[in-house]
Amino acid sequence: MTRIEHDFIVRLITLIRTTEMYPPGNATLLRIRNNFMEFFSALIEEERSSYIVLDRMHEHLVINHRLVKPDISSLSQFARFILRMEKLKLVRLVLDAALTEEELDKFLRAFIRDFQTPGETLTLRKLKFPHINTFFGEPGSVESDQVVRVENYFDILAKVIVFHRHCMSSLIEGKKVDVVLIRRMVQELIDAVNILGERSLIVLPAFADDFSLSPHAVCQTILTIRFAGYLGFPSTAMQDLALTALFAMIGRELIPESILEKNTPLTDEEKETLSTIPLLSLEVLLTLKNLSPTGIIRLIASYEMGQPGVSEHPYVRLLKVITDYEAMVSHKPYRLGMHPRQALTVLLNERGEKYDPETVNSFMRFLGEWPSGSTGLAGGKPVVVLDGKTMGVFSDDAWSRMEGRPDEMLPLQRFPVNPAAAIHHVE
Amino acid sequence: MDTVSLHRSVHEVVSQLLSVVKSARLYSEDHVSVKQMIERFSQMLGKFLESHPDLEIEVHNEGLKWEGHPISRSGGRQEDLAFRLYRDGIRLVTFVEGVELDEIESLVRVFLIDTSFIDYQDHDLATLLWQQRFPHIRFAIIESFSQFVQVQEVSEEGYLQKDVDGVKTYLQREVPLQVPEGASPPEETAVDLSTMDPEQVLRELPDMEKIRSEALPHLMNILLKNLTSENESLMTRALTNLNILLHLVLHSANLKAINRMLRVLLSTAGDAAEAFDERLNSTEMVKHIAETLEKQRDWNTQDLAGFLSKLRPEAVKEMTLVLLGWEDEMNGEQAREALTSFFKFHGELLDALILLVNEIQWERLLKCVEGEDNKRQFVYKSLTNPYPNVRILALRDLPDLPADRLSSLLWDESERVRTATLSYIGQHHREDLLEDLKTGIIHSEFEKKSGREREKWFIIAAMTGKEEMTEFFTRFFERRSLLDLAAGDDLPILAARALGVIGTPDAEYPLLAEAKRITNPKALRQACQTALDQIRRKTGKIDDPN
Repeated sequence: MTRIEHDFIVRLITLIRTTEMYPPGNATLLRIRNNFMEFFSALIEEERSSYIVLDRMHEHLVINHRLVKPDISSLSQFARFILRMEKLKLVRLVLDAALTEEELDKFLRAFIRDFQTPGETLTLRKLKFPHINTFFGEPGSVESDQVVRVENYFDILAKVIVFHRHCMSSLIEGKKVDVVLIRRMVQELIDAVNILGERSLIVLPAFADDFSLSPHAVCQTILTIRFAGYLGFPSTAMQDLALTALFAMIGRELIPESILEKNTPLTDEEKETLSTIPLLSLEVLLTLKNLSPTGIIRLIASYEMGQPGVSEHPYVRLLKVITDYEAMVSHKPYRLGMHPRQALTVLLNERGEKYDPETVNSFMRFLGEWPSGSTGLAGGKPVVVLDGKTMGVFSDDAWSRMEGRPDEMLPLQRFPVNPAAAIHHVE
Repeated sequence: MDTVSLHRSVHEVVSQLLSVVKSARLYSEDHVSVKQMIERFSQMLGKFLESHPDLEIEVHNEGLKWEGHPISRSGGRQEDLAFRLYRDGIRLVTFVEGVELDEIESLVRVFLIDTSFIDYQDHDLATLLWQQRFPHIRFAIIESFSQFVQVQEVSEEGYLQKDVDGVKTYLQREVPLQVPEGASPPEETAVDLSTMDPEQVLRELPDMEKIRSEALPHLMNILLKNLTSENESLMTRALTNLNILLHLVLHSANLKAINRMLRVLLSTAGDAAEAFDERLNSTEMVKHIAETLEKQRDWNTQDLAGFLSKLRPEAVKEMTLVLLGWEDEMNGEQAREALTSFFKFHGELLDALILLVNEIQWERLLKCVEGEDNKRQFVYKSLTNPYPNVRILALRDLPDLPADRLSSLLWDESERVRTATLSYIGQHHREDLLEDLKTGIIHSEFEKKSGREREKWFIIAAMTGKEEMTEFFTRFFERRSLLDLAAGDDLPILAARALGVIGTPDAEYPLLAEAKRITNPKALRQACQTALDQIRRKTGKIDDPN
């Protein structure tokens, strides 16, 4: 997103407001409208396009298929405008480069009138504008919706990863960490994951070759959110569980890499060091001091994750399955990541000994035999599963879309490219 | 409707909401008048939304606005809703058509949550409102990452955004994944998913509330178990964690956890136990725990009694004083049960407390004393309490106080206590105090007492001593004439009144003489006459006008 797109929306909102306040022909209104038109022309030129498409996607605005987020100063204006569009069920507005001031004024007055007179028949739908096209419906009814959901999701995901890194180093250094902000980040992530749905798991393979903690902690959190949603957790419990997942592996950050990445048998001293991971996790998280009871649950989970056998703790029963699955499908310095189907087999085989059987079964029903992000070979071509109905096929350095799943598909360990890139190309 | 009328309309609606929140904070959301106010707000809002598409309230640093017009100023305090909304990143609150009463009730409930309370330590209004998912109330909230960036140093802002862009680029890269050098492929396992049991799935979700309430004790168990581990590094880590946990345990005021912590620490780890003990017994901590317990409902009498037994005497006193001040009936009752149980074995602390409590605390503390003898002892010792009202209450409850004790109370520093003692003497016909009364009246300090008190001395002395006191009071007339006392000396007048109270024929004679003496001040002659009338009514010489 560039600043110009953000400023365009702010100017449009300002123009709507001014049109609302002033009568036609008013000098202030004319000036502001004129400024808007100049900006509109500049944007058209910047886009090298002959129109500007403004979409409404849930609680976000999109310009020419690019997500535009407000900053702190424009937050209220954006929210207000989105609400107005929502009220009118307006999902898309297309402004042609040849748009005139008079036409725009007429359109905006109809927009304002429709919004201000609830219950009456909307006139905007009946009017025809030569250089303005309007589309009405529910969010998701325009084709670019999926692309924007992905963009929003990636934006939030990236922010959570960066924030998580910052929190981790602050926690380990004993510095103050804003626990409220952590919770807010998680709730934004939950919203973004839920909007995207099943495809949110596509990011797991993207981080398979990253050995740092934060991306994996966030991937595990995403799995947790999806799984908790599948199980029907209420939003409060989902948030708590997601928060727990985010810090479940924190103790590992304090273990020397030489031990974690060792690919030969460990010495007794190294084993003893590893055995302190649970308590190290506690030590780091306890620096948060003013923890709520939910925060304490996170401490317990962090501790018990490192204990052998099936845990009695309900959070830990879920998280052990999730974190181990995610760890299995990720590369380590000493071994390649497993294929998701292989990882699921391991979970199945260790039911009762390491994992709670019911949890494993539920997890498998949730993921399905070919989870989103898993890769295979179908008809001799590499494919990646996007969701239950769609796959991305990578062939001749290009992506294409495949509907449904072929009967014959073999697990593919090494995909030619980052599998997550499929999500941008198959719509 | 013109803008001014509209603004007024909005102002009324929003003011009603602010009043609801304020009243609910004072009385509770279930109070009948608060419920009525909520209904009223719902009606006002519904009416507004009939003719307007929505009601948007802008949240600014200086307060709430509508269409840029101020409608409420922020007070800048935690109790102020506008302040809290702004502080927690909320910038717009929009009510849309269809808002139901239960939605508004839930909203008020959220606004009332005290986020300084331990259960909500990691929450603010934004997170609490998110959990509600109000269908007809929208909130524009600053994105958390923007808030995070805001509090970083200015130089960091650019780097943070670059980091975010870097992650996004990495996510979308169109290159193969890096394969670790020298990494071996994972062990081959046959990919067999056929053993998956479709029937056996998670049927019951964990009871989150139960998990939360058991969290702290569970955590303590974990750490305390490791404290006795043979693995030295585990033990050391556990001890470190316990030290950090101290603050958490104390802050939560979880009595079970505190009791357990103390019990184990005292038997295993000297320094940690000392530190914990020190912290726990500070005045500030004790008050905090007592105040927190008052808000919580998840403690019992046994926990509290056990906790008290672990405190140092000074801390027990502090704690007891706070507990005795609790207004909530149920909490107060439980606290008293705990104190009763505790004082059975710590009578010496009870003695110390007797000298500290005010009258309200005293009455409640008395209920914590079992056995008539003990109660009596308690009341008796309360006669040395610094609060006059306590001494008066104690006096009331002791029918047969020793004479020496009463004698000293006659000279108590508080006039109210002295007059209460005099009443006591009169009520119980304590003739054994007669000499003290006489001595008191002729004491040089007597004239410094108030008129009311002096009169009482005379009357009580007269009531107690009766005929015996006739001669004593008569002497005041003689003293007056002999010493030619100033006209302002009221002792003879008091003596006259006292003779009236005695009411015998012997008392009549000196009054007659004084009443006739023209050299006496008029007030004295009148007092004598009144007393004479009183005597004559008693002896039947004249009709009682009543």
